[in-house]
Amino acid sequence: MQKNNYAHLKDEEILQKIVAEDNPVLFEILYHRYYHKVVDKVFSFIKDRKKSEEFANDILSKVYEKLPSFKGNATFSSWLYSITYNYCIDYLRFQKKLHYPDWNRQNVIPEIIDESEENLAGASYDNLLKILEIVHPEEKALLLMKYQDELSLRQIATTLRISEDAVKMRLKRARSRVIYYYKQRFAE
Amino acid sequence: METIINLIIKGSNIMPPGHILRSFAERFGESINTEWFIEDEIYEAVFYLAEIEHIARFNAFGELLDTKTNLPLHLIKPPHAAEAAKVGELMNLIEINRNGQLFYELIARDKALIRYYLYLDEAGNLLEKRKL
Repeated sequence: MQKNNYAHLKDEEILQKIVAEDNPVLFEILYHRYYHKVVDKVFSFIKDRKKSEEFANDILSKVYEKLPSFKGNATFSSWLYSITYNYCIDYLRFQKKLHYPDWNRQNVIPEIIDESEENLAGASYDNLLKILEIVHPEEKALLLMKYQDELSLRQIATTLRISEDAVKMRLKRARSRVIYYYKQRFAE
Repeated sequence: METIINLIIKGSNIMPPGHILRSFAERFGESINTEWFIEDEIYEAVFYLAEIEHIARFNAFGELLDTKTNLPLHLIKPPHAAEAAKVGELMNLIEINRNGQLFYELIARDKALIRYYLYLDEAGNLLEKRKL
């Protein structure tokens, strides 16, 4: 009953009430609001549905524990997603499945396409998703954090544990790689 | 969903004033795929030159503040490589040219995959180290 009274509130308003009223039960609203979104994000990186559900629970538990440190400089969703990306990338790094410098060395972009001479106006979202599956997971995470979830460069740097300059350089490379692959596979 | 496609394919659509563009063109005329960003009256261009990513920053008067180059890891110089080796494995290498003085921003990780930011001068003196 109490939860229903708050269901219409924005994320940040619920967070304020959790803290002000010392009412952890309200976190369930956020949990249900985001659980499936977090599962889908995790699945897009680790490709294991059962593990994605376990990870989503872990991530949301971690977020709950960290609520006192949430400063409100970003939206709750971007904060939650940055923790989600960090969790996935760390998992893949520790599984030794990710080594960006090695991968980048072995997957040199054959040609940096001059974007001013390209017209990919008809590019489709479905095809973009296919391209994101063939780039390195750290490049995919960079692109999604920046352009889908609108995380700040600082948030992205913290999430991937690289510098802000490295974020800018790698974003540039990730965009170039996507454009190159897109042109190769779908635009010719 | 169209938005993310446009953003990835087109990038930033920020356009700086003409004198900034001219200053950039004088120095980096061969560049391609330049994207502009503005923060605190600093104009920042991220672009490709000779197939390598660069960042160039200009003040509001169009004066070049610094240039950053994303170097391939094998181009690291011995004193910087030695400093990175104290941490473990080199993961990223950026050269910074500030008025002709060179500095290096390294990211290295240890065996436990903890990452560190190292900032060195040209001679390899460590100016800053912090955990990322």
